[in-house]
Amino acid sequence: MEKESVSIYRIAKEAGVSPATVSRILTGSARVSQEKRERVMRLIRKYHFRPNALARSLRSAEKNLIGLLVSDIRNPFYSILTVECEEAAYRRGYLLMVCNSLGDNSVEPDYLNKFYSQRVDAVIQIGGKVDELIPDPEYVETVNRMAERMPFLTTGRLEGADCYRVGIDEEKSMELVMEYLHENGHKRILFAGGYRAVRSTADKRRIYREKLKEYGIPVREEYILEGSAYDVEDGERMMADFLDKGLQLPTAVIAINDFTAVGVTHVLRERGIRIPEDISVVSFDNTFITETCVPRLTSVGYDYHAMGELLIGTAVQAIHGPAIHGPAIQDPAIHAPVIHSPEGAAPDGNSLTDAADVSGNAAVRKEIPPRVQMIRPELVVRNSSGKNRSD
Amino acid sequence: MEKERISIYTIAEEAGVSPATVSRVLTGSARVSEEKRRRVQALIEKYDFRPNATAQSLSRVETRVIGLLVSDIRDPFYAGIAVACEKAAAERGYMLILCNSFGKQEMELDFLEKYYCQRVDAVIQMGGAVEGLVSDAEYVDNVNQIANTTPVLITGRLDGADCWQICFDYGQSMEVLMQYLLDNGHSRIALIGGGGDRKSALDRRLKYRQMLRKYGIEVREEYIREIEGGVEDGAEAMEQLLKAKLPLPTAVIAVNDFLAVGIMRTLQMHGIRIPEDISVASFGNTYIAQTCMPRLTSVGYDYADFGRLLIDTAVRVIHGEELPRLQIRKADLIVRGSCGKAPSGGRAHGV
Repeated sequence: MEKESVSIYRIAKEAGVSPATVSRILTGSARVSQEKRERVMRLIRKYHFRPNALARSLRSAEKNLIGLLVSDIRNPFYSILTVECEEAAYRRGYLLMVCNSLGDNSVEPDYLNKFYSQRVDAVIQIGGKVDELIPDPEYVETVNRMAERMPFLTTGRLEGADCYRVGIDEEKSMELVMEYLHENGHKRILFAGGYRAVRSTADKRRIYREKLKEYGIPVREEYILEGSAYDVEDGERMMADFLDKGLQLPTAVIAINDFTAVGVTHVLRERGIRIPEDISVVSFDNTFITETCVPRLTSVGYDYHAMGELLIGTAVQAIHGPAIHGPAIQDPAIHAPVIHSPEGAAPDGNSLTDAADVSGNAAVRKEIPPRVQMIRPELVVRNSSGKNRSD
Repeated sequence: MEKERISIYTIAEEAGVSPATVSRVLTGSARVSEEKRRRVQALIEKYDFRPNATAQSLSRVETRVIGLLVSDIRDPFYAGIAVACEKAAAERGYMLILCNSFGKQEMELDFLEKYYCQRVDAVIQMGGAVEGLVSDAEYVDNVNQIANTTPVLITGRLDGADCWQICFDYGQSMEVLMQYLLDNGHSRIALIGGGGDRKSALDRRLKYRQMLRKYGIEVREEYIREIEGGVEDGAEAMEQLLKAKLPLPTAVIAVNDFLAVGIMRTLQMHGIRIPEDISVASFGNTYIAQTCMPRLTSVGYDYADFGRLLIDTAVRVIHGEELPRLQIRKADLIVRGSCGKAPSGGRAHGV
């Protein structure tokens, strides 16, 4: 594509001024005579000239670009969050460079390097290696090397990494589900899916055990099913394998996400087990899959809008904030989580401007954003669950 | 974030060579002595130095970034293509800046402008303004300004715009589906969705009528519901169709998977069996088709193939290759549990 493009040199030549004068006009410097300014502006409008963001970014060291690494935007959990992040970024004048690791954790360091080579202003990672129960020390080092140069944000915990965290309160999510099922008289509760090596699963399983103990219900190990993916097929496989064993039926099934729950409901319906009359099904994430499922799914959701605002707001604040020297290792014991209330963020958009204002002001004040911020979950009850009517 | 960075200057100084020599080592130029090359290479590894892609791109006018503008990535159809594009781009050493326009033209224009300012190597636009039947002249002007310096690829049409079109054959997609239903003895076929003035909707409506006429079946307007929307709209449209006291269709076509989900829900609530009493089929073949019960018969595209074609075309145009301005991809029918033979005689409804 060899085509002539209008440069500041050409505009300078035609206006009969120096290129430096054109540059001063573009950056809004006051040191240009009114007469020259008008001459140059006329040409800028005539040629519809837009200065090269890259050339400017070499000097200002800002590209208005944020790298977002997600597991898979085909999963609605990630696509909803990606859209929220993008809208929040757009409101602040940033664009997103989105990459999918597609469940292959080994490619993530590569993507971080690519983001670095593109000199993005900040990197956000949602899902993947940041969620591992035992963080990979090599990955933590890669992240820390990046975090020395640009803010690194994640939704995971990644202990030992110098990053900002905007996370989901997984423990609270599981508590909500267990309390709801307990109130509805369920005692035999199956927990299907997730990997034991993933932090969010480990946290949920711990709460599952703690809550059963609290209710005086013995934990049955055969009611905890290890997943191998987060998709419909995995839900089907787990549920079919369980039913084939001929064990006593549970009265409720908790699925690790909405897709897994869909697989669970498929198998139950195929075997003539009624939902919710015979078995209640509950899941996590509250994506639009809950509405495409028959019956509609009860699910624990998060305020995705607030989460996108918080992620991008924090990133922009950190980009403009004072540099943080040395690895300020996050320590959950020292940094108590700041609980962000989703009730404050109504979907009517009023809170949206508030959130933008807050971060905008903070950027001006050059504050260091909090290291850990948490999103509070809420349970949305639909037709797939109800009172225990089997016992 | 003001921090000291390793630059080619610091490496040059420490290696005792000129910055130009470091640059030659980085670009793989042969004109450097073996001894100097080793010294520089050792320092590059020591500091884990990666050259600035932005600075590199200023000189060779390539950012290795492609702008991908879609209407809404939450739509599984676009998510499928976006992931395929990203995979194809990564294989060729490109990255994507993904933006969602939500079908708003002012946002599309703004994003095109931003892509231009980022000096992306190419722009791909899917959905939104490029789906219209009549192209907006002002939008075309804006696209042409970008297209002067940056290749623009679209998945629809934009009359008068200097761009490369990579499209789906919507008429053909309706044809394969109608052919399948007609071959299975269906004669009362309802069409739900596909209102509005998008080219995709018009092409499908035309082919639907054409196929019925070809088989000597009267087109019944009351079986056509030109609506738009998602699950709830599909459920509502099916409800209306049942209330209309018409003979129950033997098959229902939904123009997307979400509408089909709503249609199936209404049918199941009324105790109408799928596919024994009625067949349901859709367009898109997104993962939603797999989450239905029974699983949904759907006409879809090979997402991986389409993503590869988009990126491959973009990269070849970036490098100055002459390519056809219009490439069309055909759809495949994937038959699943929601479709079967038409019930013999058809079940009378509303009795």
